[in-house]
Amino acid sequence: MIELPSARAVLHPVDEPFPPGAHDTRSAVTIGRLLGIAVAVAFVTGMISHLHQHPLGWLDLPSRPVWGYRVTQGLHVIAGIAAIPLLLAKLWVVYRHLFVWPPVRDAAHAVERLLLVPLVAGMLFEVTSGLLNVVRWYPWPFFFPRVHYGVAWMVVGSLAAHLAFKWWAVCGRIPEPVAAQPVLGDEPLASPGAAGAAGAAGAPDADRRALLIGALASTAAVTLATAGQTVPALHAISALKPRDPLAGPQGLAVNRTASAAGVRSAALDPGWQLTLAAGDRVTRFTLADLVAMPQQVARLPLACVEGWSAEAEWTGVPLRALLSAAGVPADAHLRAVSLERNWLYANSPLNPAQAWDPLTLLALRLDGEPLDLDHGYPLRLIGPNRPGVHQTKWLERIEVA
Amino acid sequence: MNAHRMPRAGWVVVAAGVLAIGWGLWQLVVVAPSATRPVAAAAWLAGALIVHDGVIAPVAVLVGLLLVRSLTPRSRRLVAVLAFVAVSLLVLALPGLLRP
Repeated sequence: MIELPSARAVLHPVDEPFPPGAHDTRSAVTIGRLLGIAVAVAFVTGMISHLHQHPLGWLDLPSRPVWGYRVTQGLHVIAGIAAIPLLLAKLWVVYRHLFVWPPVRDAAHAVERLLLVPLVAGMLFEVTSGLLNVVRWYPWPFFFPRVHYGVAWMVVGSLAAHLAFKWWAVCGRIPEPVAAQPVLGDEPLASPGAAGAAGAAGAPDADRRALLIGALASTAAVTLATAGQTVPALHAISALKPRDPLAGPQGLAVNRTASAAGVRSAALDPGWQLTLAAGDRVTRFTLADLVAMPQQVARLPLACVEGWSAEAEWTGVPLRALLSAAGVPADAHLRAVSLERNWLYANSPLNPAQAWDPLTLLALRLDGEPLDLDHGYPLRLIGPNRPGVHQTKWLERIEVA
Repeated sequence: MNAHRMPRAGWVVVAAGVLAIGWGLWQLVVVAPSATRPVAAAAWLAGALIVHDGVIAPVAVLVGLLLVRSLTPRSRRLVAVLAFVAVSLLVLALPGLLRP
């Protein structure tokens, strides 16, 4: 969009004599470095989120810092969205190489080009599917998290190979661009004297600068337009934020309502009880029992995998108080079970660090008021450094896993 | 061209990259095919590539050519930067607008 030679030059690129500017190696490296940072942030934070949602038996994630998942998942979506204009810019810069002739020079070149297929397809898929997941639109038959996860590994693998092949350029060992040769296109590419030095068509520095300004401005625009769904300071200016974390009952967003979960009558049943099951020891608590216990107040964020988050004040019984009263072993892995049935995320795992963290609450109140039915009335789990989908609502049972 | 050739050690990185790709493919194809639906996933991957390389990029090239032919270099750069920002914001807003 910024500097284009004629169609003939685009479609018949001869590597070296291509005019310097927005489509040369320097431009590809400049945009590529920015895109690489976004991909690295998205990959690392994505793997952290994966570990939260699919815990490994031998690796218990810590329950701190309190804001951990809020920051990593907020960054995941911010980096993914920032990668959209950077990816478009990068592909626009290097598009001419798709038509390089001969298509394959030697075996190494064949491997290099072959590995660009998973890289480009994977990057396009990751940002597209991620963006659609953020608005909770799933126009495909597969389970999004698993495919997003698998393709992420294809992307980093092919990116590692790509960086190895392009190491000379990544390190900045870029040959001085050859002087523009106005022989490729239909029009003169660089004749600085003709149009004035600063504005000459094909003035490579001006074109590269425009490319970089366009990419940075677009990245800044999409970030500012959406990051307010997790960064409170940007809440007011993020006009395109996919979710308003403060829009919902009690001023907090809801992903899954009691009606959608099919738990209205069970949650409103006055005979509701919480069951704590550790082996053959079963303890039951009525709502009145829980209200009568010492209450703790904690400010904890609700942080969703879609990248929105908001902090709220939760009041309830620390889970550890119940665990120690019931004699649950300190090294037990627990499961929080919801009244909801037949939903993949109805139950959530608690490792020992999470279960015994003094800030992990069985919450009865939100911002001083009884929980709204859509926030998990009569009782929900809320703990530090956990994905929102694991802050199980409409609790029915805590059991040793 | 020799300055552009990958040092031998680079092949170690390439091999590690291929392993990571293999791990991803294994996750996609073998581990839980009922959840990952490999054929549908492959269609989406290929579709993303085809839509970009076959539609989005050529349209960008054509728009760029129009700008090159119709504007002075200085105004062309300004228009291109503004258009890029606008298109980026549009891409971001589209899912919310199109979602059924």
